[in-house]
Amino acid sequence: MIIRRALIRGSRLMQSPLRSFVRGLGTHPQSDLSQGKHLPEHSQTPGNPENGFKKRPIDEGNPMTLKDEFEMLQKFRKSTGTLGTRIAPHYKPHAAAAHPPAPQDITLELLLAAGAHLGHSTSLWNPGNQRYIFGIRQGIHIISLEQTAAHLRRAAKVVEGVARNGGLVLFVGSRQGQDRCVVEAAKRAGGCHLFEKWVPGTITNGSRIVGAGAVIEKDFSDRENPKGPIENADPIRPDLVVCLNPLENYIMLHECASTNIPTIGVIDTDADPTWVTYPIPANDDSLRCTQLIAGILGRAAEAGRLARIAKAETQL
Amino acid sequence: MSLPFIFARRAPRVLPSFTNATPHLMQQWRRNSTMHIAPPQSVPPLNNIGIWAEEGVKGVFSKRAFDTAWTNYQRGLVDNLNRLIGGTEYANMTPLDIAVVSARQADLAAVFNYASQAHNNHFFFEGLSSSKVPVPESIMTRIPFGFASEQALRTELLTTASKMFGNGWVWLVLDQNRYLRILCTYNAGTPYGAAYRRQDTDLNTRETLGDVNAMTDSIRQSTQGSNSNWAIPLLNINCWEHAWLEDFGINGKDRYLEAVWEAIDWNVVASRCPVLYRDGTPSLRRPFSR
Repeated sequence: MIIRRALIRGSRLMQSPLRSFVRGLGTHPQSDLSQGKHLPEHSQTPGNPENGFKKRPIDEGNPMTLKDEFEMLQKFRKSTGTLGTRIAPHYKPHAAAAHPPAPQDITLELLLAAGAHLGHSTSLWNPGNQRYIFGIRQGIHIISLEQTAAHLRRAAKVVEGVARNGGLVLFVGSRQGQDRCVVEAAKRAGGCHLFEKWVPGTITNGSRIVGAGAVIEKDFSDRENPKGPIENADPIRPDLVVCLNPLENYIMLHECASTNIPTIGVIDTDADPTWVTYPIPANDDSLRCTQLIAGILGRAAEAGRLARIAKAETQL
Repeated sequence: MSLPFIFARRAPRVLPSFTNATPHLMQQWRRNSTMHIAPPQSVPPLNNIGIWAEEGVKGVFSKRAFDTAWTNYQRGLVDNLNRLIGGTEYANMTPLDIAVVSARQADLAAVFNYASQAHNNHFFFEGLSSSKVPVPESIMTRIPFGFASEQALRTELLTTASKMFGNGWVWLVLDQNRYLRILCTYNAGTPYGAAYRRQDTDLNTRETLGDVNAMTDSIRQSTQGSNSNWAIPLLNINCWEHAWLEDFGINGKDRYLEAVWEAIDWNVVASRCPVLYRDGTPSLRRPFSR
């Protein structure tokens, strides 16, 4: 198969960068450029013995290894591969997902570019969101980005505080495409993720739903108890739940409310802000916006977790 | 839900919508708005642009010729490229990527030409120097395996370039066996990609007239091959007529080629050579994955 692009940027689905590089630049195993059948015969040894070059640049028995090919590909992509034009700064979804901004990087321009200000049709609004709405344009409500920024910063502080005190943060995002950012955020926080349907009763009926598992005990440095997991323990509950689509997860939010678990949620203009403890008024339909919010909260949790570990290490 | 990234023959000519709630409204906004959107591609910087814009490349391009061959020409290529790819999925790809993607699509021929030419032109000017640079050892060690001497390499390269009839480029490449080879591409041909647009053949020199022999043809096809394995370009020489027209006159190609040879920046050429790490030293530090 001929791959159209010579340089495929960091995709995890790519099986082998070597193969893509080789195929991208050519497929035929025998060709004039490599074999030189129609060009003058090249000598296997250097013509001039005074040069002192006793070997070919590549030994017969040591062709370019996979590592050499990969290093060469990486170097080529960064140098010669970029020649020709200067490309304007643009949105790179994979880069944004892999390296999300921190709470300090929250700006109105960032939120605007992510489409966080776009609400729903004015006839579908929840009047409880009136305080977050900036105005109306072309039939939809526009969310005030100053409100969004302020609430997002507050939520980041909450997440960081919970992580700093050793709490378990659960990131939930069940819409299509939210799985990656939710998993990444949970990894940074050292918490848990959910990107599929919430089974009703996971908290209120936990012994039935998740009771089969074992509970892992960790200290404040995130080191596991050497004695191993606790068998037959009551299932633990999250200390904070971050939900990227509250409209679809209302059962989970109800369970959290009834068991005094604080929740953070991305509240669009048609969602009920009272369902969550700390609403973030933003566009929940934009994947770019929800990935941005998940990334920022993940970064905040990471900061809190690392601060906790550092403090625990110094106190040892 | 984001739009799936599709390599379609006809790229959709609308901006990608960043919300699912009101896609039709976003298209209305785009039609009604008079906002100025920055062009996706612009002229790249050159290392020595400060000196060269004032005085030209010493010995090769005067100021006027440099303006023609780089400043105005590259701007023209980039403007045409923006006109064709602005708002499409190719807008944020490098010219090399665009060239490889569009190499096999006849309706994107103009896109290929401008993208490939932008890359080739930048590649050429990046390899020039105002002062004479000696050939470094990493290149000198490779020369004896393909050519009798550095002088022989020079002669063969410049002769190939001189005998090319028409616009094009002459490349010095490393093939897969790490031999130095000379390759010429006509017009905006590229040594990259699967050789569909290498454009290295002058149809006048093919031995087809009066030599109709199916066996010869098939042998030639099987040895040359329609595709090509990858090769690493190290340097190229601009053989488009506008390069020597201003300073050397319409017939001054040979003098221009000799001047280009003196101006080649061999350190840049050496940096494009792959380096091997037999002792296992890592060349790139991988970032620690969290």
